[in-house]
Parts: sequence; structure tokens; C-alpha cells
Amino acid sequence: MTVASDPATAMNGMRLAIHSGPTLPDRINWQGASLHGVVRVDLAPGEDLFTSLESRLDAAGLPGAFFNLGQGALAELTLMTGGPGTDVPITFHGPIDVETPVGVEAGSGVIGLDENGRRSSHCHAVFRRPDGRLVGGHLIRGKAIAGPRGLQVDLMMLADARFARREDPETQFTVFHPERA
Amino acid sequence: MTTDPFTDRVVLVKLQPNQDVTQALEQAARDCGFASARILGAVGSVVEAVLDRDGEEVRIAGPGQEIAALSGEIRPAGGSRLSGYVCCMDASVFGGTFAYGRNAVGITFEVLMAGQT
Repeated sequence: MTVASDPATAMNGMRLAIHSGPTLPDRINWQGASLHGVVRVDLAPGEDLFTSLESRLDAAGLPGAFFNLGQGALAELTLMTGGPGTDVPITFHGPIDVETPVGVEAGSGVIGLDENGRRSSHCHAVFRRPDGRLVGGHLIRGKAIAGPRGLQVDLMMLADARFARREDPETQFTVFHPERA
Repeated sequence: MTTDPFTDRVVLVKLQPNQDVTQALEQAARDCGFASARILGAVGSVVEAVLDRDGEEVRIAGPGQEIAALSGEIRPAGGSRLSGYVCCMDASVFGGTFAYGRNAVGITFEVLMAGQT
């Protein structure tokens, strides 16, 4: 196990993960940006969350965006989740097919570029089942489909900056990094 | 299209692992010269979530929980209280305020922050 849980390796009692790569000197990376605007997007029933938002961003000719989920429900949902790995301290688990419909409780996401310059999105969200229980995790392209009454999303579009995926040598995961566009 | 004057200056922030999410965002706000800031959107993970329930720390066994809908005001001088949802490996969810100094970034955290100087 490569997760520090004992007092000698945890920091002030905070549990840490010992990743396989070197600890990078820059712990916080940031990029100033201009917000082009915020629009409320109404996804039609049957639309895929990621594909729909990415196409709207492409149509606007803008490099990136964040989004927050609003009112609505999903007619199809499959989640990935995080948990312990065998070779790495943390990895993905799943997929978990969630019985639908589920209503949106909360969630936010990023739209940027993958390592090949194609659109890529990253979203974590929480949903409410009909019995009131919450379910949540990491959303998957093509597996977050707007329900019969659609889905509202607030899209915060960036004018001159974005997140782009590249390998993080520290974790060896390909993750979003901020950059000027 | 609507705009919020508070969002006129925004930054994209990425946090590396093993630093407390709240304290790292306070440091990011200081690095950006913000007197105050708030989270507009965030996606990330923690090693093991610890929530603050009326002063009592509640540890949610990890490692590797996804965090959804992180929100709150960031006070660069310290003492910020951020809230959100913790998504566990079985997709169960806990919600609440993140205990200050107790929630290490797991893999990464991507944040859209708006601030005022």
C-alpha cells in the first residue's frame, strides 16, 4: 500500500498518497483568464452532456470552459469512481451503471483539450435517486444523457485560456493543466 | 449572456497532490494577489476526505475519493470553509464542509477561481 496513514508519513494527521513520480517543485499552477461569458444551456432530452457542451463551445470558437449542472435529470448514467490501486495509490474503479432516472443534485466540470488537441471534458457530479439516496462520481462521455425534461447547465466560457491534458510526471496520470490559449 | 462583475478577473488553478485543498486554494489566491476570492467551478480528488460536522471531524475512509461541486469563499489570510460532496468508490456520497488542513489532494484538482484585488 502506498498511502501514508501512519503519523510518521502523514502530514499533521492528514493522509497522503505516495505517488510513483518525483514531487514536482511547483505545487500550485495557475493561469489568468478572461471570462467570455456565462450562458445557460438547455440540453434537449437524449443529448449527451459532454458532446453537447463541447459542440456549443466549438460553435463559439472558444478555447475552454467550466460548467455547473443545474436543474434536470438524466435518463442514462454510468459512473467511474476513485479508490485504491495495486501499482498506484489511487486509481479509477467501475464502471457503475446507475438506475435512472436520477435528478441532478450538484456537479461541475471542465472542458479543455486532450493530449492530441481534441476536446476533452472532466466532470464530477452527484445525483438523487427517486428514494432520496445520493449517488455520485466521475462522468463518462456518452453515458450522461439528459432526461425527458432536459437538463440545464451553466456554461462559463473562457476567452483566452484553457485546461489541456498532459502527463503529470508526479502521478503519471494524464491530467488537465492550465495554459494560455 | 450575463456577466458578473465579480468574475472579471478569473484564474485557472491546478493543485498538485498531497496539499490540503482549502489551504492550497488560499495560497493560490495569495499568489494571484486576491484580497478575496470564490470558487466558480472545481473538479478533483482527495486522498481521504475529512468533513467538519459542527467542530467534530468525520473521516471518510479512502483512499481516492472524487470531490464534486466544491464551493465557498476563499479567504487568502486563512480560515476558509469550503463545502462540497465526497463520492466514494461504491458511488455513495457524503456532503459537508471540508475540515481545514485535513484533505490532501489525491491526483489533481482543477479550479476556476474568481477574485478581487
